[in-house]
Amino acid sequence: MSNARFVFCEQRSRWAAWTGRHADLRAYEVQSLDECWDHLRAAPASLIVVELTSCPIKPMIEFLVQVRERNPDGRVMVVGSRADCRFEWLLREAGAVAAFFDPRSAEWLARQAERHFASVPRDGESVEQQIIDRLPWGDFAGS
Amino acid sequence: MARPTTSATDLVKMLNAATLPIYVLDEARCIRFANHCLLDWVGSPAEEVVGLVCNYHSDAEPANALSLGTGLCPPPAAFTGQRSRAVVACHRRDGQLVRRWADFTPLIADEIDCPGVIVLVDRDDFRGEFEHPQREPRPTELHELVRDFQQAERGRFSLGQLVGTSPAIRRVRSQVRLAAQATANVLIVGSPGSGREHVARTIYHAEQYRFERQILLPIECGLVDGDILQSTVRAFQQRAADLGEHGQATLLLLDVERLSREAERVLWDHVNVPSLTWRLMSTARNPRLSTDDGEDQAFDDLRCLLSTLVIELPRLVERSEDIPPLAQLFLEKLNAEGAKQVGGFSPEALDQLQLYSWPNNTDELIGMIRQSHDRAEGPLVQKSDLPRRITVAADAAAVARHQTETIELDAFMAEIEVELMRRALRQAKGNKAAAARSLGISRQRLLRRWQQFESDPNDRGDGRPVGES
Repeated sequence: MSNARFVFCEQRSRWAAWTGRHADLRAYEVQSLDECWDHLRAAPASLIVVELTSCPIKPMIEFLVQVRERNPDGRVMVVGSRADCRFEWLLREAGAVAAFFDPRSAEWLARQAERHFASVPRDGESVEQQIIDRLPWGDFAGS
Repeated sequence: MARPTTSATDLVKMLNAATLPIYVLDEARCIRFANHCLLDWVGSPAEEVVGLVCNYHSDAEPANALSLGTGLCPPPAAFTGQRSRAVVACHRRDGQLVRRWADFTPLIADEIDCPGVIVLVDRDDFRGEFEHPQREPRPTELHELVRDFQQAERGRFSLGQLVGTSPAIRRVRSQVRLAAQATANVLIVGSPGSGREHVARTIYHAEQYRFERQILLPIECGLVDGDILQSTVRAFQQRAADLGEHGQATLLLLDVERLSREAERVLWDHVNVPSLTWRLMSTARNPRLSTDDGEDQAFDDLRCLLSTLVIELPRLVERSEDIPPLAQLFLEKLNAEGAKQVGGFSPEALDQLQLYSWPNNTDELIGMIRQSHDRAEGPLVQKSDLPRRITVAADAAAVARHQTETIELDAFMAEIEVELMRRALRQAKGNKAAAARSLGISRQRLLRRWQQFESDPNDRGDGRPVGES
């Protein structure tokens, strides 16, 4: 089982679809913060993308603070509509590693997600394999 | 000039034409009017709805006309002249429970004499927490949200949270005080889990009394590339400029050694200015920030700029005398979170905590205390409540470590070879050809090996010539 999962918590799977166009990452889709916690418990280094549009701001701030305190390996990104961008600084200060309010930023979300998953050690993989995987010529290492 | 008049019929027509469910209650909480849209939503005829008395209940599960009134009941505050927003619910004819948000507006804003309440129900149903509608907060609400958040954060990141009496943590506390009074850039160095971000946020909150407004932007350096950093820092600069001279903006670079070269270049372009108006705080595992390859002077300059004041956090195992007060602090935080109250740790449990090596430092200690708090059944956390890995590792650490002898492999093997050749010569009574045969090698090779080891083939090793019994 992987130590990190890519989880989208949103109403209509839009950000998951937009991000999927730019990154080949397997994503889980959930619809509540409780389900996000289930994933964080199972895979502590998960990256959670939460849509703000459908979630009240106060529980979102509490969620960010709790993830920061209880699950320091987990990362949370917040997405929303343009109207939500007034919360960006508060969300970032509370612990969101990124906040995106425009579908055109899905590519940036994907790039950051790829960097996150590249830096997380995968369970059941030897140290040597992890090192080889990170080499720029890793694809040719086995040939 | 005569005022235009509206008849009651016209008013009812207008309300019935509305696409929002609307209903009106009198002072006795009796529904006096319900528009067509509401009747459609609840799926009941007007005769069943109008005249219904609504009683306030926390979670309505209406299965009949009486509990429909419970589902549509406004919160009591609405009858004291206060506008409010709450959930209304009803069962459709198919038995499905549906909920919507509704705005309750008193007809007179009077605490004592409120003749009724008009209720505007949202268009869309919601299910549970997730579909909570996001409404535009009033400016004061956003202000209160920020204020509450800042207050809670100040409590979480006060200097008093850096608990301990060890010289190492006392040094850290004095450095944090110094950093909070200065505006110099700060680099916080420590192994994973040692609380680098915690210390950075403590400095940020400790300096708040000096500024009217502050902003903190943490950046996870391992996740950003040059483009993303460029855009983020630009927005931050704009925001920092808006704060003016009475404000302070702090850019917190987490794991700064993980910045890519491209991102380092972008950062350098932003900070290489005569007078930087914002502060840089960074965290890193390595005080040198990166390998000193000496390829680019700009990167060395950036590293120097980031590390004006360096705070080195000790590993937890290096300050084991601080473990009991830290453990107590974290335990009491958990007590404050919930109903379960645990008073402290038994002496045996504390001994175990101090013997463990804590490779992930305070983060690991916090996680362990959370588990122990959950497991504890009595007033104290006992040794048996600690995770097994802690007790096993602590027991192992209590046993004196075996001193491993080292060997020089070549010298050791040569010694064995010489000894074998001596024995073969003794057995052959000094006959080198016979000794070589018994060892499965040629006579020449035997002599070469003797020369190589600078040994005398006639030396028995006990001071007597080979062949002498």
